[in-house]
Amino acid sequence: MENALQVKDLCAWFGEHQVLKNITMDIRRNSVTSVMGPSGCGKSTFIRCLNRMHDLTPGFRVAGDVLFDGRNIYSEKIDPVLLRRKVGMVFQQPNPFPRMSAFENVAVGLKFNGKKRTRSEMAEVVEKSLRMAALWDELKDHLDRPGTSLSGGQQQRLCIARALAVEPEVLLMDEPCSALDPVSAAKIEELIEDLSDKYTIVVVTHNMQQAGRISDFVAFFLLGDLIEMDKAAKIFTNPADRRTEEYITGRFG
Amino acid sequence: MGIFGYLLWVLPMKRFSAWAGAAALAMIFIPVVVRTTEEMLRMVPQSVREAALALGIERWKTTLFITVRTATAGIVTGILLAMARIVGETAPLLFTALGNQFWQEGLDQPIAAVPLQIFSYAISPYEDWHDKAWAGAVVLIGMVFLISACARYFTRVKK
Ligand SMILES: Nc1ncnc2c1ncn2[C@@H]1O[C@H](COP(=O)(O)OP(=O)(O)O)[C@@H](O)[C@H]1O
Ligand SMILES: [Mg+2]
Repeated sequence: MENALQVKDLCAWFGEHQVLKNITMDIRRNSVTSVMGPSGCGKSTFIRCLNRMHDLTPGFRVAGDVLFDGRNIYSEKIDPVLLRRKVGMVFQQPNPFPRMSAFENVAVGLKFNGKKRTRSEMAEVVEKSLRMAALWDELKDHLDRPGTSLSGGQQQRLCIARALAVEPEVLLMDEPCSALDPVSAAKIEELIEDLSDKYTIVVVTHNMQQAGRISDFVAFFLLGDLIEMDKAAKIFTNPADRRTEEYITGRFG
Repeated sequence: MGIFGYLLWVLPMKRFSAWAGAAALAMIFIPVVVRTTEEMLRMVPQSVREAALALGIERWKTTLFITVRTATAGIVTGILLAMARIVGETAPLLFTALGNQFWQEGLDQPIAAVPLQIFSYAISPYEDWHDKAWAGAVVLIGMVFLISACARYFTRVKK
């Protein structure tokens, strides 16, 4: 199937406050889709709907469908735990597990997902994940250092490696660079581009240049509505909606 | 607490015993540990729980293996503080374990305890016994110190 995720008429509420209004979009497999829009327009809420991260938020409610591999993730039959192994997430603030070494941080998802693995199998997955996250060369001699002792950019790549280790199909990233310095951010960007060969990536950003560099598709949100979604080139050169144009030319937001 | 222990265990069992002493101390110990543990778990940032959740780790495993691990230092500290607190308790033991100058015959018998020994030596009229009470105090401090040192050792960040 061409689309990894299909969102149909998705609405979301925190209590009485409606945060997402009838969002419908398809997310193409093995591509980078950027979600843009001014703060508070529901970007984080939206991507957290894609792996049911809101399940534990009191007062949160959704309506509509999110199809992953053609199946509605909000149906009774879907186990959110298994879903999240397929649809991983990287957060705005790097959040390696405290009191765990870098190695353990990457291995932790595997350790708890039921299958028994030997030490060497584990080491193999950790190495592979760290390589994919472009962290192996820097870290291979320091795998026993606490994850939290790394630099911010390294921590974020460690979190990416940690997410990759459980072999997801989709990677959701909520402003993964906004807490990082420009050099670290550039590394993450490069990484996103590399990973999009194998993974479907949805990334929230409000950095226009960054979205331009990394995205295949851009979705523009405003106050809980999806204003438009199209190929990145189209959005940045010739958006269909005046509000999108105003946003990308910096007239508001 | 001592009198409570006396009423609850010593009277029904009709004798002072090590068990009664242990139970009385546990009644001080357990609530302190439970309360600090709860507090420490609450202090683990939400981002840690979210990270585990996003990896497809079940909630109970997240709590048991990740949240608790994140809070280990705090929890162990809580346990040790509670231990240090009860190590020096004399009054509850006076009413429950009583103290014993002789060879221990079993845990259902009165038992000796350092604080009790210090207490009985210190209230005695003999200079010599006073010295022994001081020695006991040193032993007690040494034990507390040892407990803290162990705590330090076990809660250090693994290299
Ligand atoms: N846990 C929550 N409880 C209640 N309201 C929330 C919660 N999270 C977000 N919101 C509200 O939802 C709206 C969208 O927030 P969010 O999705 O975080 O926006 P963005 O990521 O685009 O900045 C905001 O008005 C915010 O106040
Ligand atoms: Mg946000």
